[in-house]
Amino acid sequence: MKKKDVILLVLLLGAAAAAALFLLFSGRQEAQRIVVTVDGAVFGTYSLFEERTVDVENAFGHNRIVIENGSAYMEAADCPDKYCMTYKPVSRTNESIICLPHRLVVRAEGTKSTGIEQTELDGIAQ
Amino acid sequence: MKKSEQIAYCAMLTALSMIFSYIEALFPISGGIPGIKLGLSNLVVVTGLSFLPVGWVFLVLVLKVTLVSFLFGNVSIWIYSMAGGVLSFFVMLLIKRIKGFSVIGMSIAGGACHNIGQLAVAVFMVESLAPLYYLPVLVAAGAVAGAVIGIVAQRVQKYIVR
Repeated sequence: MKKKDVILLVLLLGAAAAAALFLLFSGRQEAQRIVVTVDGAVFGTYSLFEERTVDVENAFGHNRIVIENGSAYMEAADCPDKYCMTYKPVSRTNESIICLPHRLVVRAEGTKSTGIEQTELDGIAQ
Repeated sequence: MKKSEQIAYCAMLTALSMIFSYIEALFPISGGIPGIKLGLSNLVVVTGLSFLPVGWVFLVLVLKVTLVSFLFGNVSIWIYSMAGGVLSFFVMLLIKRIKGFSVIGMSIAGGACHNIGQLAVAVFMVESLAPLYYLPVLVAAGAVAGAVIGIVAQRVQKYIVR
């Protein structure tokens, strides 16, 4: 292994670690809700503090998202790889569960401080 | 190297890459995070670049991705693998031209870019930036996997490059 090889590896790992720390640090806040999008379009927005089950049924297939104890996880999916079911439950801002075959994204968002403002803005926008 | 020799090597490398993909499918080491794997079959591409003309290695890559995707996967896996494979191929060519890098550095860059290419397709597919959340861990995993493949490739080269 040459010197430049080591520099490249260290740079990549360092940049990745810095970005990961930034994401973890900035995502510390508890999220208020999850936004489910399919193929880029919003399917629905659900509060993380109301226990419920969300079924998404469309041309891509079926996904069942369960919300409980302030977090959400993928309980069932009929996609071929089932990777989405292995994601850990999301509860903090910007954490997400992605089901690539079904083009589905479950994203946690909204912090305590900005949650109310954003809801109001959404209300006005509607 | 005669053209017939090149064709023979191309075919041999393609066959070898399919066996590697099959072995990896039997023993997946994902560590719980989707998309993380060693990429054993890329050893063939990395090694190929050291003794075959670029065009033949690119052909090996395209054949490997196409055959493996349709044998063990589906069309969407083909798109992901192709994006990752082609991006990493051209970045490796670039690194190969820069002085001071060994095959290990080339493979490290290739591994990281393989995952970047796949993530780019994911962003495009779900029409959301959410997959970028996994960019750091995938770049790190790709770089480490690339380093392992590079070290193996360097050992292999001693025996095949004359």
